[in-house]
Amino acid sequence: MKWPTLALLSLSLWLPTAQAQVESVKSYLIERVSQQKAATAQLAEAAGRYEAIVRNAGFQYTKLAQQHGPAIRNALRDARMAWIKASPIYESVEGIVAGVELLSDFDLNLDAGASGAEGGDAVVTFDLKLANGKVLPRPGNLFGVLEGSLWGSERAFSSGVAFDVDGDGRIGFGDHLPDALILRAAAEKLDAMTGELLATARTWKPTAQDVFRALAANVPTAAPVFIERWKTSRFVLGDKATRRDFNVISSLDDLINNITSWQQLYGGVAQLVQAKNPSLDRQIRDGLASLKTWVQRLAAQEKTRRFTPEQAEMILKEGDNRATAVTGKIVQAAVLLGIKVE
Amino acid sequence: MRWITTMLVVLGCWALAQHSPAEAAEHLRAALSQAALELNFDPGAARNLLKEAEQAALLLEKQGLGFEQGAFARLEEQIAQKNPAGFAQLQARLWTDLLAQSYRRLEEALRKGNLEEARNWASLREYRPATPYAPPAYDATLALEELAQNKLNVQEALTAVQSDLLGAYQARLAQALEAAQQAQQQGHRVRLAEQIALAQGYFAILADAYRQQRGEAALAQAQQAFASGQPAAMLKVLEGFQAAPLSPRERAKRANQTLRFLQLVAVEYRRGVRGAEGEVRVTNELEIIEARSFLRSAQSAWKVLEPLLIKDQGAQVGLVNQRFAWLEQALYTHTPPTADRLSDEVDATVRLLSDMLPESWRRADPSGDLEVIRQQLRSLENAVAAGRYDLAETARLDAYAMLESGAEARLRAFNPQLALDLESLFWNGVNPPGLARLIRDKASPLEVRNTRRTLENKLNEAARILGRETSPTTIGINAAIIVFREGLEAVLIIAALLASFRRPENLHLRRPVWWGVGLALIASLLTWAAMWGTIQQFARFGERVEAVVSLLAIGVLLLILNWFYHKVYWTDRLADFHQHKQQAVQKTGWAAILGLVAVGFESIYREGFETVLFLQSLVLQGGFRDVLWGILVGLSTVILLGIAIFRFQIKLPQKKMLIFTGVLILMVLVVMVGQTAHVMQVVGWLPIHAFPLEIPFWLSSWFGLYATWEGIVLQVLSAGVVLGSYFWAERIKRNHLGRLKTA
Repeated sequence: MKWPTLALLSLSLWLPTAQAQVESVKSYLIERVSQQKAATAQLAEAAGRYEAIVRNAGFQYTKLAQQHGPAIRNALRDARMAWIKASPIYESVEGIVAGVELLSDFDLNLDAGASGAEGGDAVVTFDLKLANGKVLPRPGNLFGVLEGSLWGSERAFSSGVAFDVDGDGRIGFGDHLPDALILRAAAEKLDAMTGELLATARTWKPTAQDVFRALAANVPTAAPVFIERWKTSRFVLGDKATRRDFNVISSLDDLINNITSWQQLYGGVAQLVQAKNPSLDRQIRDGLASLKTWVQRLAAQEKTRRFTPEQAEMILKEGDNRATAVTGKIVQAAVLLGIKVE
Repeated sequence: MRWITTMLVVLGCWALAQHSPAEAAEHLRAALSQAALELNFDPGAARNLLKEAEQAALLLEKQGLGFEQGAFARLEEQIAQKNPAGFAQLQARLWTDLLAQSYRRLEEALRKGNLEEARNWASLREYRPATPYAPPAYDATLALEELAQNKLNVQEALTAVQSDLLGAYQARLAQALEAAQQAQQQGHRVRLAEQIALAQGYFAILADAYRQQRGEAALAQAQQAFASGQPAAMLKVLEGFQAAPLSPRERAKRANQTLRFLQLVAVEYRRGVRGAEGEVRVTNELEIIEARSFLRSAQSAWKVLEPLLIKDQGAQVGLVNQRFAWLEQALYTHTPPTADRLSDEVDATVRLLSDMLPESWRRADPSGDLEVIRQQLRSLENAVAAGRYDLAETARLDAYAMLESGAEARLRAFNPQLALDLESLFWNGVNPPGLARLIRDKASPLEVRNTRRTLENKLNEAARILGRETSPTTIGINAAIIVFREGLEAVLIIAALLASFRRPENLHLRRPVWWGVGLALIASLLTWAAMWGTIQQFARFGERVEAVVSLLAIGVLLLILNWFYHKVYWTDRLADFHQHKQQAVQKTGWAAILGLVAVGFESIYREGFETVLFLQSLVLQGGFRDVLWGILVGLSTVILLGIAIFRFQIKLPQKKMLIFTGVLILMVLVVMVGQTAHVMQVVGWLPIHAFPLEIPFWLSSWFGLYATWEGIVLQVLSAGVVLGSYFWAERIKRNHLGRLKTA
């Protein structure tokens, strides 16, 4: 076979493969969000079951707690397990959802947005309508509201009545009965919004530019968002922590899942970068992999070590250094492909 | 077990040895950083990490980077003494020293014009701290790419690289000093030692720039402040210091902003006042406010450029400042000047600035105005999210100025409704609310985002309308037609020439003709390279080069078609080649051989040259990849044809094939005329008068048909000239034959 034929053949083979790689990001997103939908449906079902029990008891939480009914415990355990299943799945696609303009509002409302009371530049855009007609305006992101309700870390979303949810024979962290109306409304809203996300994701037509922009917007959040949350959570400060969220799953685990989604995202353009500059492609892959390994090691260490505030600051700085170095390389790779990320 | 460990170490070293300096350096940095933490918990693990760092250092030494004598031994001592502060300090010093060496290597490589080496060192660097709203800069990478494509010269690339890297290190220095101050307040001893050492290291990288700007004595004073280890003293000597020179891109941006904003001052002012000299009254206060905003923005952009010009053009800089002062006074006075008077003053200032600002500063950004507008809109959204409505307003004006002074005028011709929609989204539209309204009402980030998204969609539509995107398929097909057509001519000419050497005693004469053909093919390839190199020299002129090359190609196409339809071209050319051949054959020895080589060369190179010219024009329209497959298809068909004729002696319907391909070439000409007219309208070389009918995008993409009178008329004319010329020639021929018959 002569070189013109070879050139033509390789060109025709390469072009569709590059697009297929970008499309693979969408396939991953849809697969993960579908799994999340199954988990949020379980959560909504368990929350509905809990609300029905509470309603039948005339919303007498103290009475319910005294009864120690296994039905209550089962419903809440199922709801918690479904939340614990859904949340990391979402974290594993958050990088894509937050970075793609078409989907970014979902991230605000599902996982990243603040409540109206907290204010700031990223307040959620929905109100929560309860079954009794009451409306909670801009209550905060849905995973956060549900965590605050299921583990009682947000007083406003809990009944305030202590209950041994985990059945370990003592009242410990999270042993409170949630406000049934809020729990049900939030769980149903989460399930519905996950469905909307899935439908919107199906309409997304991914491009290399989408992927680079998403990466450039997300990777720099490693330190100021995730490690900062971890630094002030009960995983570092223990009982001194005042955060009401990120107390169930360590923010480091969230970061690990997010890095997985960044790796998946990068996989969508890696072939293009490799064709242009193999060393840069390797540096980006290694940078993301080494960031993930470093966080995994920290996550393992946090179980046996207690870091001082100074060490936590230095860890935050190192995380920022690593994330900035990778982001820098991603932006350079984009510009080599004629894509300017600004 | 031991051999497994040894093998793993060897494998690790081998893997590391395959890495670039940037990868080895990152490996070293990460290992030292982890060792600094482990030192507090597990000194054994810290030692192992230090060993890993040493392995990476060995590799860097092989690349020519140096390390302070005994640096690793001292780090090991800190582990032994359990001294995290000492370790952090040494680690920061070692790292910033590596960065400094890499930066020097990069500069040296660039000055020597060694691009490969420059690329190698450009990746061992740090970036400006990234945020989700402001990712790290890419100016250095882009500059090296543009240097490779001859879009920048070495000095321009060097300035861009310095701007990017020095800017990044100055930002890192500021960050280190801020962290050091925090550490000081919080009593964090280790962090303080680390951040101070980092600040000292970053300043060492910036020291040359400091010396150039402030002199040797000031540098000595600054170095003393850094040696003191006091963040406050360090911050003091850095006051007003800006290490990074303005990159060519930044200079071009500021220069264009100054001119565009200034022109808009006159536009807005004219909308806001009425009346003759002495009786001028403000009829629309909002327009005057906008004129003031544009003037402030022009002044702000000018202030960035002023220091670069003051040395060589001090007098003119003074004049510009006087004119700015006059305009400022005019916009705030109770006795405003007439619109004409203010316009004259603006025009005079623009002329003065145009004379002062070097041409290279005023060149158009190839990425286009619309991309700049999109960037400004993203900045606007970020500013609103941060609650900085004042910055958001500046970004909005910036974006609007860019639109109004460039794309909007063309858009009004191509799609007036879209131009109106954009205007309404930028200003005070109601549904969705315009950006000016939203910013004035301090709307929520979500509302601003919604309008911004709508605007972005409209801008995408505008980009599609204004864009010159020819369908890649069209480009490929055109390339295939051109290669096939020119190749067919070449094959037929060779076949005609060789046919006369059929007799056994003349067969040996065929070989020199083939030599000439081979030489012509090589010469055509060299012509391609030379022409491409020349075009690249002018790449900075972007669409203008495309317009010029396309015009040349159209000229040649018109000539070919005209000759072809008159039959003069074909018959005369063949007669000419036969005459040359006869002259060569009549000679003897080397003279005959050289003559036949020349005949072979001439017959093919002419086709080769034309092909190169047409294909260059197509590459400029689309890209090499789009043209490549067309070339391959065209070439394959010609080769098959050649084999059929030369090997299997197949007789082809030559005349029909030439007419068929001639018609195809006419279509290529019409598409090329349409695309070229569009490019000329985009660069402002051809006026725009809107055509009353809307033309779908696919027609523009496939047939170069755009909704302007100029484009359509030129396409019709070009086809008309060629066809008219054909029928005219036919008529003359019939008349001639008629006269002959009568006679």
